[in-house]
Amino acid sequence: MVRTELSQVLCDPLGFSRQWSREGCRVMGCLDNYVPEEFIHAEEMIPLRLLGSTESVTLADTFLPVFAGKLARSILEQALQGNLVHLAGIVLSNSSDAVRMLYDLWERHIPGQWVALIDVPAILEGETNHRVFRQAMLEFKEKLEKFTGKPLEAAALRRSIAVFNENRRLLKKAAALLSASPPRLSAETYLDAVLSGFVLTKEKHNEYLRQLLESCRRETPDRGGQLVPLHISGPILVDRSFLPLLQECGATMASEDLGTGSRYYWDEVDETGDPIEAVIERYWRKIPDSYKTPMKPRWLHLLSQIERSKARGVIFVIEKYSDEDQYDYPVWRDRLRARGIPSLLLDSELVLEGEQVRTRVQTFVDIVRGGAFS
Amino acid sequence: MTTTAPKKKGRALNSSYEAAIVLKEYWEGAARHRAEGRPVAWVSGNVPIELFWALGIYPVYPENYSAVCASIQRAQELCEEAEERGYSIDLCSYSRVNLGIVLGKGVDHPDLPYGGLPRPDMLVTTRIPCLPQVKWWEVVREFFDIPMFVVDATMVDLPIRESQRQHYLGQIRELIPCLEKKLGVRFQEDTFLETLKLSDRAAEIWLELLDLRTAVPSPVGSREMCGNVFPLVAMLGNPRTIEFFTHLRDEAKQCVQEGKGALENERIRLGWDNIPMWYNLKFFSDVEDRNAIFTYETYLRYVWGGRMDLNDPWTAFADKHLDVWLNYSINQRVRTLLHDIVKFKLDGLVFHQNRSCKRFSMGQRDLAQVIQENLGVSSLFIESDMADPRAYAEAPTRVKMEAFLEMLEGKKS
Repeated sequence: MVRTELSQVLCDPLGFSRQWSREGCRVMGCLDNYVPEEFIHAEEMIPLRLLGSTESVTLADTFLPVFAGKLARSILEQALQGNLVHLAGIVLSNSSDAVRMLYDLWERHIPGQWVALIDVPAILEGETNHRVFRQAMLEFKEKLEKFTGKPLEAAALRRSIAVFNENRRLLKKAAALLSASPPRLSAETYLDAVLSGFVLTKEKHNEYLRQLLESCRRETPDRGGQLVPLHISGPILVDRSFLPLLQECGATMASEDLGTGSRYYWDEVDETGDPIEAVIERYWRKIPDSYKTPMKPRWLHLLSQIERSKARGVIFVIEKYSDEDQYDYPVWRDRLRARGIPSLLLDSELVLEGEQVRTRVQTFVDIVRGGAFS
Repeated sequence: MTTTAPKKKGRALNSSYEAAIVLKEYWEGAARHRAEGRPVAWVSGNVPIELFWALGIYPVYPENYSAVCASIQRAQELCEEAEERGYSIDLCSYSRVNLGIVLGKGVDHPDLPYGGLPRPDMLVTTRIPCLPQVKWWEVVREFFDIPMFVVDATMVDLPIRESQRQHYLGQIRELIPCLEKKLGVRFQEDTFLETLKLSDRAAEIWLELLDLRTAVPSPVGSREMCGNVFPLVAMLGNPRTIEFFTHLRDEAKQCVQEGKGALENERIRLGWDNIPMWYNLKFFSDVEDRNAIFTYETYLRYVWGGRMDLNDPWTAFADKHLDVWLNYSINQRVRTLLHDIVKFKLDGLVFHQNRSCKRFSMGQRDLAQVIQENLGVSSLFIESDMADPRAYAEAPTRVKMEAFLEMLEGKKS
C-alpha cells in the first residue's frame, strides 16, 4: 500500500504541489542540494525540489543553448509554459554555470515570481570561503524572512531540523535495507522512496517511510533472485524505468551516491546549539556535490557505500553537458579500476535511452558476473 | 627593442608582427625558468597574475597553449587523445587539448609547440571565468599530485559589492602565504605594488588602443587584435607588455590621425562576442572582401586587463579581477553592450555560440534581443568552438555570414 502511495506521488509531482497551493499552502521551488530547506520549512512553506521533466524543450531554447544541459533548460521550459506559477517562489544555488544563469533568466523572463539565489562559494575549503558561505546562507535567511514577513524563530527551526533529521535517518535505514544481502527493499521502491521526499511534506514522507520500513521488517526477503549488486553514481537519477531495466539485465542497485540520493540526505544537522548556525554548518560540511571542491569527501562516500553494499561494479549515470561530473568520471573510473572494480558510463538527459542503454548494461552485467574484468 | 618582421599583405599594423615574437619569448622564458630550477605555476584565465610576476613564480597558461595548438591546427589530435581516455567531447576544448597532452604524449614531448609545457610546481586557478575550470585543474592535480589553490568568486553586477571584494581579498591573503610556503618565495609588498603599476600601465595603453578602434575607418581588425592580446592575459606586470602595446597603440594612433583604416573602403562595422575560433582567425578577415571589419570584441575588452586606481591598490586589484565579462550577470552584460555598440558605431554583432565556453555563450540570446529592440542593431549567431575545429561547419557558416552582410548592406543603403 505504502509503495503505491510513494509511486503515485511521482506520477505528477507538479500536480501534487498545485493541490497544496489550492489548499492555501505556500510551495517553494528549490533547485540544488545547497538550499537549506530547513529554513523554508520553519517559515511554514513546503520545499519542492525541481527536477525538470522528460518533456521536450522548445520555449527555453530561445534563451539557453542545448549545451546548457537538460535540467536547466527543462526547468526554464516549465516556467515559461506557466507550469510553475503556483509556486510562491524559486530558490537556486549556484550549482553550475547553467543554473547560475538560470537565476538571471528567471529575473528577466519570469516576471513577478519571487526568486532567490544562494550565492555560496564553490570551494568548500579555507577560512574566507567558510565566512562567505555562512554569509550567503544568512542573506538567504533574511531574504526569506522579508518575503514571509516574519522572522525565522529558533523554536520553529529546531522543530524543522528534527523533522528533517528524522527523514535522513529513515532514508539511511532504507539504504541499509537496500544493501542487505539479500536485499530487504527493492531498488525501485528505494528510488521511489527517495524521490517522493522531494515532493511530499517531510512529515508525510516520514510517515510513509516508517510504514515502509515496518512492512520491510515484516516481510520475508526474496532469496530467489541472483541479481548482481551494483553501485549507481551521478548527479541525478529521475528516470524510474532504469531500475527495472537493470533488473531485466540481471543486476540491481545495491547502493548509490546520487545527487538526488544519499548525497542529498546523508548528513544530519547537529541538534544542539544555535539552530541557524547548525544548519549552515551542515551544508558547509555535507558530502560535497560534484560542482564543489574538494572532491575527496565525495570519493570517500562513494567508496564507503560500495564497501557497505558489496557492489561488484559501478554505473555512472551522468547528465549530458554536466561538465563537473564528466571531468570526474575518468578519474574515478581509473581509481575504481585500480581497486578491481569495473565501471560503466551512461549518458542521460533526465532519461536514459532504452535499447542502447539496455545493450550496454547487459554487456556490463555479463562482464561483472563473469568476472572477465581486469 | 626587438626588431619586427617586414610588413606583409594583410596586416594593418606592422607592430602586430611583434606578437609572435613576444609569445615565443614568453614560452622560452617559461622553459628557461623551469630549467634553472625556479618555481613554475600553471595558472588559468583571470588568476591574480601580477602576484606571480612579483613573486618570481613563472605563470604558465595552459589555456593559451591550447589556443596556440588550435592556431597551428594541432588541437583536434590532442582533443582526441583526451577523448580516448574518457573525457567527453562536450567538455571545454582548451581542457581537452591540455589533458590530451598531459595524459597522452606528456608535457615535454619534443613534438609539441615551443618544446612543450614546463612541468608545474603548483596549480592555481579560479572560478571567475567558469566553474568547470576548477574541475579541469582537479584532473591535472590528480596527475601531477602537486598543491593546488583555487580562488573563488561569485558573479557580479557592477558596482562590485564590498562583500565580494572582501571575499576575493581574503583568499588572496590566504594564497600569498600558501605560495610562500609551497614554493619557497617571499612576498614583498613594494615589489607587488611596482608590478601593479606595470600591469595598469599596460592595461591603460591597451584600452587606448581599443578606443582608437572607435574611429571610422577602424585602424585594425579583430584578426590582428586577437593575435595581439596574449601579453594582456599572461604578462601583466612584465615590462615587455608595455613595450609591445606602446608600439601597437602609437602606430594605430598615427593611422587614425591620418584617416587611414585597415580597409580602404570601410562600409560595415561589426562586433564579436565570445572567444574567437583560434583555428580559423581567417573568419574575421574574410569579411573584409565585403568591406566589412570586425572592430569590437567583448573578449578583448572585458575579459583581460582592466584599469586599477592605485591610490587604493588592494581594492583596485580585487575589483580588476572581479570586473570581467565572464563574471558579469546577464543584466550587466546587457548594459555594457548597449553602451559599447553606440561607442564603436557597430552595424551588427556576431555571437559565437561557443560549445566550449558556456559561461560566455549563455545569455547571448538575451543580448541579441535587447540590442535589436533598443538600438535596431541586428545579430548573427554562429555555432562553433574556440579550439576544436570539428565543431565548425564552414559552408553553412559562410552562407549565414554572407546573408548577414547583405542584410546589413541593405540597411545601410
